[in-house]
Amino acid sequence: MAQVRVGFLVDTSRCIGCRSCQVACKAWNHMDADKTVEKGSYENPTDLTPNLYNRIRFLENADDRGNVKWLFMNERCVHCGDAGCMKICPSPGALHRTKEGIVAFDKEKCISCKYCVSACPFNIPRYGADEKVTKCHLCFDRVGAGRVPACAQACPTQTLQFGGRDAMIAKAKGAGKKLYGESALEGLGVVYALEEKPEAYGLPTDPSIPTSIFLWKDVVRPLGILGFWGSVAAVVVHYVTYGNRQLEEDGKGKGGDANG
Amino acid sequence: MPCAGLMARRVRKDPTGLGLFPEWAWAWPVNRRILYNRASVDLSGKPYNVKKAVIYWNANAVLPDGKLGKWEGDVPDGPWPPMGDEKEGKKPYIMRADGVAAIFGPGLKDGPFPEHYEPLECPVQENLLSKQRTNPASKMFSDGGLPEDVYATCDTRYPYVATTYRVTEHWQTGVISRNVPWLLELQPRQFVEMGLDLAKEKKIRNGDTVEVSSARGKIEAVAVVTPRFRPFKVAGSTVHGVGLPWCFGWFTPGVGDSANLLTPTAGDANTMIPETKAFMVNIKAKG
Amino acid sequence: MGKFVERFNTAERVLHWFVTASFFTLLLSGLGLYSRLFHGYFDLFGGGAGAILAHKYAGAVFFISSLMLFFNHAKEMFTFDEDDRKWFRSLGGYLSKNPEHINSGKFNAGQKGFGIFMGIATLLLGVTGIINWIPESFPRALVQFSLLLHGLLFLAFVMLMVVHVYLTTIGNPGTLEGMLYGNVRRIWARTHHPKWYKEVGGE
Repeated sequence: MAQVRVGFLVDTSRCIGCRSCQVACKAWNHMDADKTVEKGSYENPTDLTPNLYNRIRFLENADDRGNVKWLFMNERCVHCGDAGCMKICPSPGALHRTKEGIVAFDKEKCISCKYCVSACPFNIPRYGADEKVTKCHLCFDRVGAGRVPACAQACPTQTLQFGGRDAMIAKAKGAGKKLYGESALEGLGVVYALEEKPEAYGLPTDPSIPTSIFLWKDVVRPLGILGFWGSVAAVVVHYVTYGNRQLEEDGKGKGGDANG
Repeated sequence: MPCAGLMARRVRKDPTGLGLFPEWAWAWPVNRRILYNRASVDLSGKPYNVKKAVIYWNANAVLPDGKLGKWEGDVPDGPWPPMGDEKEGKKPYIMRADGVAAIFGPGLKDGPFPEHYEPLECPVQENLLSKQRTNPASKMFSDGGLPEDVYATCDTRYPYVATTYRVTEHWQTGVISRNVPWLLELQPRQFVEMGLDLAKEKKIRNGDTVEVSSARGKIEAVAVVTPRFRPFKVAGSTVHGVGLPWCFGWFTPGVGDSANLLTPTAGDANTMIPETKAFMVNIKAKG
Repeated sequence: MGKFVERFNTAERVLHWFVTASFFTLLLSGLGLYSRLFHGYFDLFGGGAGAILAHKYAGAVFFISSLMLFFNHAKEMFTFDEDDRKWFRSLGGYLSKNPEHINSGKFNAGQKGFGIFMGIATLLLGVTGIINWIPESFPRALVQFSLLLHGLLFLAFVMLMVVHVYLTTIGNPGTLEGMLYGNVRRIWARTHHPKWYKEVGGE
């Protein structure tokens, strides 16, 4: 039976910036609070950390007439259909896709190379003191047991809606929402309904696998394997064709010095 | 207790047609949507305006225990029969001792009509809407002769309006919620919000530590410079406002002092709620 | 006179074999990092974390020994003359059944080119290696490019190394003993590096 791909629809217009999602995630995953300082913003912590899988960004958008739109944006792993982190990970199983389409991680298989930190178009994975990478895993343990992720359960305004991806997208489009992530990177597992342009929310306009990573995995790697065996083949062919450089016995060298 | 499940209701039925939506969430305590709705009917329980009937007495309805007569429409203010019933009828203003409404009830220190007064500490010399600048019946705490019991109006030392408010992450003074590490992580320290113009004028950048002072004391706070705060135009002059949360205090090391060290020791004439929402301060960059 | 002449002194040989040993350690530990297809090679190091550790240490050894060897041979590598141009034109005679021997010095033109490549590649691999080691200290775009460049250089290196191993072993008998024991047969020197042979006292 074909598994329905699950995901989030994040309706940013409903978010009230309460951060229940931040706290619920920590409660479910048994993560301690980070020590924070006030830096002049309601955003705290000011970045994702190994102990913070999702957070709310507070973005003030002031127009030139002084009217301010205060946007609240849930920043987290968006479980890309074509995931840069999975593409680059050298350790099989460290980053894996569950049957529901979630990009989950297995710390025991992580070899601490930190490549995924560089390969993510959204800069999501974080490296911890335990030398392992962590990120939101969409509560795949809860989802596998038929429940919704902890953050979605806690959200009081149904900003974080969890369910079958296609159905949620169809419903949102039917309601006239402008969606982000519907088809980028083979469809994001977390689709946002935005009221402003993606840049206003700190989202990359056109997310894609970083060029260097794509070149490495999809161009250099296959060509490299070809190239290696090519050079082996070349020396074999050379030996078969030309043989080696024999050394004639003293005096009667084949070449000798060019000046006779 | 009929809470969680019923609060989540989102039924869009509106049987009265008045936009009451009785099955949308829950109006505590009994889901009565209009207080004192018994005042909308006459002595026999018939609505004064039949086209906009909130409740009405159905004399023929049979109750489970065999009695006759019940209210239809909104949840009534108490199940008793209409006023006209000599034995069990009740006047509609059920939370007042005499059951009737009043423009000017007994026991209040000021009135009879609402009046606009300026707060005790204010940025204008005159009340533009009344000859009396401040409420003469305000409770002024100065019996103890404490140095904090001072007030400063139109004082060049304290030119900015300040207000205090709560944050989502802490509850009231924060003395309990600051002990929850996850909450302290979200809101770790005393801050003061101000607009871009004021910050520029005082050479304060977002994130700088500033000193906020009033006639009663001073505290340190981290500046949150934001376009959400815009200056007011009051009586032709520009008045800047700043805002502070009051959920921090010395009991939790490192979070800063309470904003209530700055607020006036004067209270509302009737409730004595202290005037923490409007007072005058100064701010200074501390680096 | 004896049959042999000294070609590589102790320092040159020791450095070369340090380079060789660290190179193969880097290769085996790095294959799994280069691509998930080769994750089996991690088992040689007790897992991916062990492979990364081996890669870092071997990388340091490689970086230092390779650059030392580079500077050891720098003078010869950076002097070019007409004989080198001749070598390039005929590709050292390796693509001909009856090659005309070039009057090469201690290193022929191909070896000089390879040596220069090794110096540059070692430097770049070292720099990109450091960037890959502590990515949090560098801008994201730089780290991404560094990962790509490190892999590309590794690839170029491996391909050239295949050719190097061939040419120094079965391709040219008598070469390996120079790097193993330091001495080469006079006939070998006369055949392959006649100008050098004259300089060090042969006829």
